[in-house]
Amino acid sequence: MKKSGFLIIREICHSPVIAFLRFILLAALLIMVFTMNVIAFSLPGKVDTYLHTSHLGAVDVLSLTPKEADFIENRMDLLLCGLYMDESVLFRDYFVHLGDVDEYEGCVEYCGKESGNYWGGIIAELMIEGEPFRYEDNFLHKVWVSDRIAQRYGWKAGDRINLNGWSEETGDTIIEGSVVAGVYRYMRRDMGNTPDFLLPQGTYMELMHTDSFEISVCSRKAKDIRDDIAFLKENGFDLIYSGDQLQEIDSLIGFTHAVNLICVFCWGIVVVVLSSIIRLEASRRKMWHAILMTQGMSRGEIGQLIGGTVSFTAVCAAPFAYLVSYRTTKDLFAVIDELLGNITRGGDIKSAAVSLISLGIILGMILLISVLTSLSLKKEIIRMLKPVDE
Amino acid sequence: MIKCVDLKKVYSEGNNQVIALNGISLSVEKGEFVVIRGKSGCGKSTLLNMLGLIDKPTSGDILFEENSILSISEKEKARFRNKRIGYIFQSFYLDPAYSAMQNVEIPLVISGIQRDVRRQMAEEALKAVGMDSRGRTPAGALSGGEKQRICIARALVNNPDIILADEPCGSLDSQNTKQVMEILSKIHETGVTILMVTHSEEDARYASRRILMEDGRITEG
Repeated sequence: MKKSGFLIIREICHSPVIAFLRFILLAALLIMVFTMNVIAFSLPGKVDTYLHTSHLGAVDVLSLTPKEADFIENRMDLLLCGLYMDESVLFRDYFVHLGDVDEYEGCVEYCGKESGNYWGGIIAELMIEGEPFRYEDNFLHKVWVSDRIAQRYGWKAGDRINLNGWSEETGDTIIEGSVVAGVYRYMRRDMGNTPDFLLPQGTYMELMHTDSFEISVCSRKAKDIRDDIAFLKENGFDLIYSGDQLQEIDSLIGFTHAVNLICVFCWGIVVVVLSSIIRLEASRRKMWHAILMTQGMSRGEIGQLIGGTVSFTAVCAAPFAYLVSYRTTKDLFAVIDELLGNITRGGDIKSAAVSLISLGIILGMILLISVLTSLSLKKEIIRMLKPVDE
Repeated sequence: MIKCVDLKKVYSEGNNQVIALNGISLSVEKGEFVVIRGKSGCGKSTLLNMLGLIDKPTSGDILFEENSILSISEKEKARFRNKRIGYIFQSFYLDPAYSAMQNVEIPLVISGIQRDVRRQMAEEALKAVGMDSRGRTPAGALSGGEKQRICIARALVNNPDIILADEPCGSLDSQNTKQVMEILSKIHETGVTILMVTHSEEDARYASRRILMEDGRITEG
């Protein structure tokens, strides 16, 4: 019989060599995806922090243990915190205002450990030209002052404090609130040191060596950080960034985005591959049922065989499914966070558009995978429900 | 050899009842080549499924060598199908990704025969249908006629007492039909009992006895 080209290709595709290559390809894909995720989770500063960095300050202040709070309280002099009244925290642009710190007056409004968290101390409301400083309608800047500082300067709840030149006069440290976690980590690593610099909000840093810092990934754009740094330089703050580190931030943020997208893409492929394997198995199930039934297996034995295969597939697929949903959800929220940040906090249109496109791509991928999977499975399920002898 | 007595099969569709078999009594002797003919929906495939222990009748009995085989357990029925019955279907039921040899080996795997013996038996069965040169070819890459010959080899491989063939040439062209029918005829000549369902008068000519069915009853033969 003369073989058609199609038949020859099919024979080649079914050859043991090709089957082995397919197996190798699938294994390589899985290894690549695992590796990408390992890289993603072990990046300096961790890609995980991408989503949460801007929340670290408030979360960590409120979740400090008494021991940790005492530790910080004994080493930190003045902490400025920005809190949303609805408990969500957005710190973007905070620095622009903090730059005006000389014009601020603080109103010490609460004192003592009854403040509802372990930090304790005095909460002072920042005032600008005599009016409470508010950011949008529900944003309120607070000044958190340790008991030690309150005693030193004789402050009590309700007092107005003037921060004009305060740092220069007293030599005490001002730390911006959103970086408490980073400061805490810094302190923990270098017990004797009191931080003596201002950290740009939205980032946090870990002291890897005594004279250099490893910069973690944050939800802010490199441009914003660069602006902050320029502003701080102009205002005479002791900076920790160098030009090289700025480039590092740029590349790190770019790399983080790339890693996230690749991870989502790779997991998408894994989902498609797994669903197609399941689909293939399902399409063969009816045929196999007929084969096994007529060739000498009982219904119970076939049930056990199919049940075992399905269970095995489910057990194998479960970790992948979990990781896919975990990774995708995290990236989705990160992009939404970025998008909202750009819109609500006056970011530039270009950034908002990029965020929107990223969001569209991720949602599109999820939708496409879901639709393809559900459609193919639906078809197969309908086919499976037909009786064998039909 | 195989006998059914007053076999009835009734399917319920909502409030309606469809009578697929209406009191069929039939006896097939050892070495016979029996063909059941009839229009589509007359119940011939249902009868074959009952005799092959794939489906259960609503009432009546099936005797194999004078012993009732309806009362045995599901597991025993499965063993019975494996050892004593060979099946051939119009739609082949071959796994396209498996080689012809592997497909033929399936009943031997189920019956727990060792690999070397299994391979030898499969080779012999393939030889009997003239497919020994195509043993390593995936079933999906075979033509319709070749697939059906693989099915025949699979049906033969366990040396069954009876082969049940359901429209074995239903999806084949005339040349392949002739080839397959000649193979079945040769198998019959070796003493294997064959019970075949077909609507083709031409295929029925190969049989030693012809039965006609209509509306779930035997009307002729």
